[in-house]
Amino acid sequence: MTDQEKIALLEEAFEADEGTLTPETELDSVDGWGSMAKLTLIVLMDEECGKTLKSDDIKKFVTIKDIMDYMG
Amino acid sequence: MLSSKIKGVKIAGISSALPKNKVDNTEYASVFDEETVRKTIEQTGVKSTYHSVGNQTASDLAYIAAKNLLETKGIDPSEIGILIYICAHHDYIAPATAFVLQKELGIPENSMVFDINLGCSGFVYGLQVGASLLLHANTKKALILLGDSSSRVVSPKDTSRLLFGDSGAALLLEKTLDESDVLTFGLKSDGTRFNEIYVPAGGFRHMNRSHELRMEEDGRERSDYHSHMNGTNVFVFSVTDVPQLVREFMSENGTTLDDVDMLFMHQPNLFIIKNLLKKLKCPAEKAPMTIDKYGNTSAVSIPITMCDSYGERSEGKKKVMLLGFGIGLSWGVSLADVDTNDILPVVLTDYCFEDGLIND
Repeated sequence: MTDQEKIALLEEAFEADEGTLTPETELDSVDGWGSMAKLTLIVLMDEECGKTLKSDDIKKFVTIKDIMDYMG
Repeated sequence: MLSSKIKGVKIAGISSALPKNKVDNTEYASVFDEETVRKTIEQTGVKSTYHSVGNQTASDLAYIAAKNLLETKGIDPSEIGILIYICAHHDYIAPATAFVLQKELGIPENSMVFDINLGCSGFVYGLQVGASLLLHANTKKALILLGDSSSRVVSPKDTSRLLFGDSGAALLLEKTLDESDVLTFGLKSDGTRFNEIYVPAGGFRHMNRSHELRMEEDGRERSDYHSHMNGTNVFVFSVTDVPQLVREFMSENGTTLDDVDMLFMHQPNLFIIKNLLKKLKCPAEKAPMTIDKYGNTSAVSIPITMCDSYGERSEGKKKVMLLGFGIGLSWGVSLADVDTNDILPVVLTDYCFEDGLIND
């Protein structure tokens, strides 16, 4: 999966407008980064990357890049 | 997976009861901000719940469900030899609430009466335990009662309050010794995750904690006497461990969802239900939902959804898959045949047992 594809998936998951997220974006600055976005991210990680994301993993995410790196 | 196949016991009746006090979730706009309430309703799918008032407990609701079931089926309480009450919220620290229910229902002393402390998996576990015991005892009928008083253990300042409702249910099991009456089970438990959903104080380990609400790490205000849940990990459990159990169970029993008329599953919230159905590749029309009107009613969510589907309109015999999962962590699946004529409509009650023990 390309970085562009990863960002597009994350924008959709966080209900963010297209082109608003970059790898450097801090998650705390993203409006949609709430409890539902975290659950949506779990589903995304499972369906798109075949990975099981737990709450301790999510707590370590600071930027969009951290999530992209986890996506593999 | 712990597997179990029980022949010669059938489901002979199911009934459910709710408190009369209906709470519309839009009413919470005065506690939380309007946008939070709107979003929570949209994401969880819960529009209303029913909450007990005064001293009414889950056992009062289970009692009314049981009384209704016995009266409708024309069964004398003396015919019941096994009474099991399944609830995570008992009436007293001791004794087991099942004894209070025995007294109220008038079940004689030649019986086996006890509680099981389980939540959302309770209906499947109760069916297995009740049916197993029935086969090896000199009685033909077992009454499995279920109750939940979640509204009492969720902090008033926790938005989870919008999700949970109080309820009671009764399941009547009958020994037929007919080999064609088969109940099949797949069960799992994981104590390493005991604190994914828990109420830390109020038992004997942490008896004297402060009742004052404090802001916790997850942004919810509560005390140690309130319910704590790691929502993220419980979600992961619901959409990974639970479908894995169903796949294992279906593979071991050589069955698929095509062989099942209906799937009655625990109703945690709409987001989990939708994702779980997707994982199971189960069409929504095969899995009735009641999360919108009753909320998450823990162990009662399976029977109350059955009562909601068939209480007012019978559709003859159905092969059903029952799927419960939650606190423990505990999860279980069962295949059973049920005559929908034996499923009663949901009743509302403000009944409350007056024990006379404490008078201020």
